[in-house]
Amino acid sequence: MTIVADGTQQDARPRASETAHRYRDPLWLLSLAMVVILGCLVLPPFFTLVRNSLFELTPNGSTGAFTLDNFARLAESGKVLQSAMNSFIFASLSTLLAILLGGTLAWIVERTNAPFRDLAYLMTVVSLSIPGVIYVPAWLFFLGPTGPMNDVYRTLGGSGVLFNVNSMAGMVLIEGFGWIPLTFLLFAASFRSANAELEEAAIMSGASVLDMMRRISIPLAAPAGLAAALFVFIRSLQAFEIPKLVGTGAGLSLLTTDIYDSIRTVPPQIGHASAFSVALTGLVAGLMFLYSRLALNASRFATVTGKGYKPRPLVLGWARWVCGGVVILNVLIVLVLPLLTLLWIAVTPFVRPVRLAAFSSLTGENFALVLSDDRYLELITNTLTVSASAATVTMLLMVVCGWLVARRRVYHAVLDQMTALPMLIPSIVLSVAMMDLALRSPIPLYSTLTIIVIAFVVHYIPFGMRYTFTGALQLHKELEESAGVCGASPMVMLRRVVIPLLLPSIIAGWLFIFLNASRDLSTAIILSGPDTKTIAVAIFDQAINGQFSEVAALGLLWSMMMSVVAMAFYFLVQRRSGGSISF
Amino acid sequence: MQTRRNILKLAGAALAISAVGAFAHAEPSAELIEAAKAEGEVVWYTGLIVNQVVRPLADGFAEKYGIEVKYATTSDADTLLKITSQARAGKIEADLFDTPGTAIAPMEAAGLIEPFVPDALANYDPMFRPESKLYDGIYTLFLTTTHNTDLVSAEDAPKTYEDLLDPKWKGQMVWSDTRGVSGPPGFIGNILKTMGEEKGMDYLRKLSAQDIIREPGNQRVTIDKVITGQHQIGLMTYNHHAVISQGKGAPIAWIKMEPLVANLGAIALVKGAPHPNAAKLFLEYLFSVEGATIIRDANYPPGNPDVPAKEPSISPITGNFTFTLLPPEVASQDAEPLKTWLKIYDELF
Repeated sequence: MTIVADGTQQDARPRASETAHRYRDPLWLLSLAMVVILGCLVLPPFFTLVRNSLFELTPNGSTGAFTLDNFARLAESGKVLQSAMNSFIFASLSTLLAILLGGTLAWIVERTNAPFRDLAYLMTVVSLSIPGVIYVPAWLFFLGPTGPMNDVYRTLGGSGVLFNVNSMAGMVLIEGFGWIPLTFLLFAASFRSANAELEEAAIMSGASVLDMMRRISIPLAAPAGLAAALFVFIRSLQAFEIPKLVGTGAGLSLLTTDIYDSIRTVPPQIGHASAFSVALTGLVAGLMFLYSRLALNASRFATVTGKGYKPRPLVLGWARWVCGGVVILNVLIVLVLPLLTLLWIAVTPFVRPVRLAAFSSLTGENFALVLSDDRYLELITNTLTVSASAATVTMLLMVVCGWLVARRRVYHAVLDQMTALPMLIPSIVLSVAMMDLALRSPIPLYSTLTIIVIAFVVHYIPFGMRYTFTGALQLHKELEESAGVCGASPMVMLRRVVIPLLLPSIIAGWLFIFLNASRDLSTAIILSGPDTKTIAVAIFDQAINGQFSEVAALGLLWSMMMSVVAMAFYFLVQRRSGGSISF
Repeated sequence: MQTRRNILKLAGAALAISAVGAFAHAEPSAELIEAAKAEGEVVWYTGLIVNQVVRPLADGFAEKYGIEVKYATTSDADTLLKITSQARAGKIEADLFDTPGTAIAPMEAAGLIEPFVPDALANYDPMFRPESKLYDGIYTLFLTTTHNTDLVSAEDAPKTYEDLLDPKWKGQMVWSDTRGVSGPPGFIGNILKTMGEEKGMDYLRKLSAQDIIREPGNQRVTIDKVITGQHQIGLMTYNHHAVISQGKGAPIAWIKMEPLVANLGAIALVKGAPHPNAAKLFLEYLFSVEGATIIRDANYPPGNPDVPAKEPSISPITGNFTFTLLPPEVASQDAEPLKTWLKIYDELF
């Protein structure tokens, strides 16, 4: 049996001073190359963001005089404090909900012998392929006053509504549910590669399962947990769709409530959204600093060592059925309820409450309409090409970056900051910056699939980084050191040791980016030209012109296809790797 | 502003069909066709529904002239972002763009519209071909009050704007929170234009006490909320949406609350367009009987007087109702009068 590193004595920090280290680090060239590549990708949109926030927009779209109006407007409403408070509550509670549900689910799936575990990955893949444009309305309908939940309540003799979806609780539920797949994946990657021996030792020393969770499992998952929490928190703080679509009915005002309107104005007032992001950058920089302090003690979390490691599931007694129940609950929330709701909407000729009487009028017309349209082949090919390329490029870059940062190699701080930057750039600002870039580029990029790929790479860098960085944190240095001792050059070591060990994280990240990029509407709409249409364009066309039943039918068929593609990919990888990879 | 006079004009135009028929059906000049063919293609940024309008038009045009129509689906905001960026870089891609009105003023401010009125528009009502020639009207859509027929019977339903002040509708009415002429600001504009400044404001203040619910999303989302029974009355909803849903058995009906609000769907030529002649030829085709028939088949009431609407009741001529036209000229959020209407909306509702 191995003695597992809690390893506080092992210091991951470079011992030499930074300057001396820079020249000695055999990988400085690789680090520098990454800094340059990332800089080219991330900095132009960030400059656009800052510029948009500080200068007026003239009618022809160029920047005019310097102004602080955009920032003044953030503070204008007079109830900034109230809005800030609401935003904070909304983001914190959504994060908490997503972490609680996703984290628990990940632990059950990776660490126990609970039944139905396999459903969790299926749930994640399918849910990641449902476009947001149908996911939010599905929940709004399900939880709404005429939705099945309040219907059942009234049937049971209640009056009015049991749950008012247009409330803070409604907003938090819908936002939080949407993040469960991501938190689940991030936690699962960490639980899977964490060494189970600490848990086993705890159980053998007489700790109860709860004690073990509190003192071993949770602290072990802390780095992954913090990264995921920070991530979801920032994204929720920036979200404007749910606050607008759900909160308007409740008269709830958040910091981002106005942004929804201002980017939909013609011409879009990008300055307002940009100013908000710049202000948020300050706040996040503080949080990042806290986080980087935590990651300083990185090697305390290294549990994949050179000594034998093979996580074994914890054998639970009756509790496994409780855990199985938690899995089912998550599957219900994340997948079954929204999918059934969408199916109901798609097969009813017009949106109506779930009633027995309505069953006679059910129709496959909406599906037939979508299936009879022959333009989808081109859209599907384009979408798959773009999403797969974006996922591949992002993960290739991030596997190197994640490892360099986790090992605190030279320039790691710069790399760390740069990979986090895109998180703060709203997608409309990113698209506009990319459009300018493409138009100015000497190589023809405008209206090509390439520029969409580049935009997606920038957008998904932080996601890719979370996967590879967390994965690399858990790899113990001794594996790499022994490669070095055996005479492997750093590049060989990366290729033969680091990448294979990180493969589960890389594949999980790839799939996550692939699925998300394929359902991304806002970026794709602005950047796609007449010859580079993706499925997003078709969904958007339906969403602005058609009835919701048609959008639901198209979205469902799309999700179904993407799930099949993702599953096929997953099984292929499984077989090639001899079954060692589980998403 | 809109009155029965407009209808009379429309009706007059309809009656004049036989007189101008020969002219209306005149083919575009051979020079234009030749120049267009030399350009080979036309690029169109559109928000119209692809499988019912855009593709049939593109296919029909390609078949007739052998010129390919490349289209990209965009919203008004995206159209503006894209074309202004292209212009700054000197690489304009788009030849044509269509809009529910909002994009015309900002595109003109950016100096990116080439004034043009196709010959095929000659027999259309003047509201489809403004003197500025900045845009050409494709169709008019009509916004009005709708009610859930399961919850509110036809007799009980409000008939006039005054009826909306009845206390029984308090908290039962919904409208979208669209910040344009097709949303509440358009309702406000209609009231002020019809009732006058003083009486209109007085009415709006009373209406604001009725606690109208703001539904985020477009007019289709709003009418769906009325259909599901979440709200009894929908304001500023499209009459053609009501008719389409009615056809599928939905409990919804539209009310002829006069004057209705008319919203013009417009198309314009981009200044510096790479294929100007092909674009002009396409506009001739779009406004011909052939093009208008495709518009009609997609359930929009076409502007072409030779092509009657599929559902006669939704068109002012055959449905016999008055309306206030809120054309692209008043649809800019940065300019009057919409700015004032938005202010009233923010203050009262």
